[in-house]
Amino acid sequence: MELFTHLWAGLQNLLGIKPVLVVAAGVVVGILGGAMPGVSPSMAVAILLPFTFGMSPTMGMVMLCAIYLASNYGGSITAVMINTPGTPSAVVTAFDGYPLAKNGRPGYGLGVSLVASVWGGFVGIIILILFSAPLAKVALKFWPAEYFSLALMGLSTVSSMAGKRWVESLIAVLLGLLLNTIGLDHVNGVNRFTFDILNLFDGFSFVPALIGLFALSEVFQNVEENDYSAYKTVTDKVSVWPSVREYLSLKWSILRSGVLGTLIGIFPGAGGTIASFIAYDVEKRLSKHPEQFGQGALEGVAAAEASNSSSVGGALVPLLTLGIPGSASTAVLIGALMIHELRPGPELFTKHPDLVYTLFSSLFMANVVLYLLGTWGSRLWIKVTQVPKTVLYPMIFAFSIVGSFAVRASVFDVGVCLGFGIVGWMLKKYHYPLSPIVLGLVLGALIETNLQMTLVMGGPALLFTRPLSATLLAITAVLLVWPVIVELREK
Amino acid sequence: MEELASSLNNIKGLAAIVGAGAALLVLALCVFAACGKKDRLGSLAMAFVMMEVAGAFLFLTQGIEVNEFMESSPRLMPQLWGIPLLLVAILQLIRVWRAPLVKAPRHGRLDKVFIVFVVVCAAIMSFKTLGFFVSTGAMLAVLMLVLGERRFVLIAGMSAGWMLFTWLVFNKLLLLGLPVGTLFAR
Repeated sequence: MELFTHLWAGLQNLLGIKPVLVVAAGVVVGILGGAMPGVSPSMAVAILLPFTFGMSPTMGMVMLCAIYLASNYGGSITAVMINTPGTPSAVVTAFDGYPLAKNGRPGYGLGVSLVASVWGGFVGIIILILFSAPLAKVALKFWPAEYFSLALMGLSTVSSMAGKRWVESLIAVLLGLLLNTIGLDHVNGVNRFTFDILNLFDGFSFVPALIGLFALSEVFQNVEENDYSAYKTVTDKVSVWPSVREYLSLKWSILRSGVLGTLIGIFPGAGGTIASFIAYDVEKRLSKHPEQFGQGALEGVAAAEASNSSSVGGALVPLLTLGIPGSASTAVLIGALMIHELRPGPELFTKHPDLVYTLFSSLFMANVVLYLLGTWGSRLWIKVTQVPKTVLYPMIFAFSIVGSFAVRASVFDVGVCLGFGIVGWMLKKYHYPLSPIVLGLVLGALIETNLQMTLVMGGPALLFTRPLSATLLAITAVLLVWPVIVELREK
Repeated sequence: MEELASSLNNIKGLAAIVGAGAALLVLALCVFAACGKKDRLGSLAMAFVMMEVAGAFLFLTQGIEVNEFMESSPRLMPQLWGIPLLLVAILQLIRVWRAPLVKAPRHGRLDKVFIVFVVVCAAIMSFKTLGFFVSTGAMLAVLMLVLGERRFVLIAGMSAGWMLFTWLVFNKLLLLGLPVGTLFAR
């Protein structure tokens, strides 16, 4: 009952022209960003973060979450129409979405992806609402030892989920953590690796580093590939959409994939891409017509879209309850919370319940707006792909510069953004993932503070004598050793 | 060791560390090439750089002040992350070395990447004198030209539009006050 009261209060904060416009603007920007090949959800959220500086923390977060939610759907538009996923998580949507478009039924691909995204999003939000408040209550009882072990476990999932690239992922995580040690020590206040550079005393600012890693590295990669032609699309093919009965026949696929996507989204490093691959695979196995998958199966499109949209809700669970990001985009959201001087974690529920429940309500609203705008604007969104890259890439540079500068009005931060962009581009060339670096940068401070506090409170033994902490550390050890065992077995 | 590490904690020290790292990398690449690993030089270099980064952090950690009366040490975290990074980077070096086949990344227009990088650097460095709006507006125009855009009306329109947009949004709406530059300041 208390939950509904909070939600109702949150919804009331959204009644009015301004909040609705904020949500709608976030959804439009998210769809456009997602539909542009080369602009990932995390990139869209990072680039537009500075535009929320003048807003209240609540409205800022509402807008960023709307962008995050909508960009996951936006990626499916280009996946269906031109077989070019706008976001990595839409790769699976293209498996069956594009064959539908090729067979003259693009409306089916777009319609199913939209409806599955919206309902998958609802599933994710419902699970987020149901589980985050109780989880936050449990988390409030956590000692620093538990926090340290939990954050460590979160990081270890990154390498265990990376498959054969586990070493590269582990290196990336450790690099992020090491870079986080630059600046004043969080507990003792001692200078570390600052080289007498005043700007480094606070360490690297999150936002410029994130923008550099996610946005600039991508643009540098595309510049190197030297392909700037816009995609050719035929918008008049968006014709017949599925009937209500056809949508209803997909309800179980959407529900299953929605639940699966949310659960996978909760794990740091997993995110929408892994969720959509697994959900697609599950649906294919359960289907009576698995041979139709890859040829234009509606269940395939529904599974991919429902799971990647619901992963948004899942990724927000650890972010809001524990202060641990579940995906690259939520790592950016952590940066946004910090800029607005809010500490992500269970205290958000006790100190700023209005923000949390307004955010929950806004996600519902964003899904409804997404449905309306998705239905109305499919022909329009596809035109985004026709923006020439000779214009798009310079614009991304310009947005990245303004975004990095606006955080602290510091030219040094713009240089940091550019530096991280170059480093990110080089790492990507050699198959090092970038999200783990961001997770390391974000979680480094949390890990350090809690470990140091644990040591002060009772020494290292406390990590192993508290049952939950010991369990989490054991799981961490298994997660770290597992890829090694798999590799040795394969040999 | 501690004295040397703390004496390197300044700009000159940073330059010396970067220089030494680059020299070591070149030497290592020569050794790798001489051992017949030319097909995977990039991947080996990447792992070697990670080893160097970890090594540099671990070395500099020796120069961090420690308060003996405190229970926790500021050296703890760099060591906690630096040692595993060093070990995993060595493992990666061995893996790449022993792999029967390493997929080499395709090198495209590196010259264009370099030009773009220089243009953006120039824009950043001219913030103080030309101000944010003119610098980024000019950067937009030059980048579009570099990337092959030849519709000059579009280029001019985008640059002017960007300057107007950022001025309106950041200086008038969000009141963030982006710098106008010493050249244009009253």
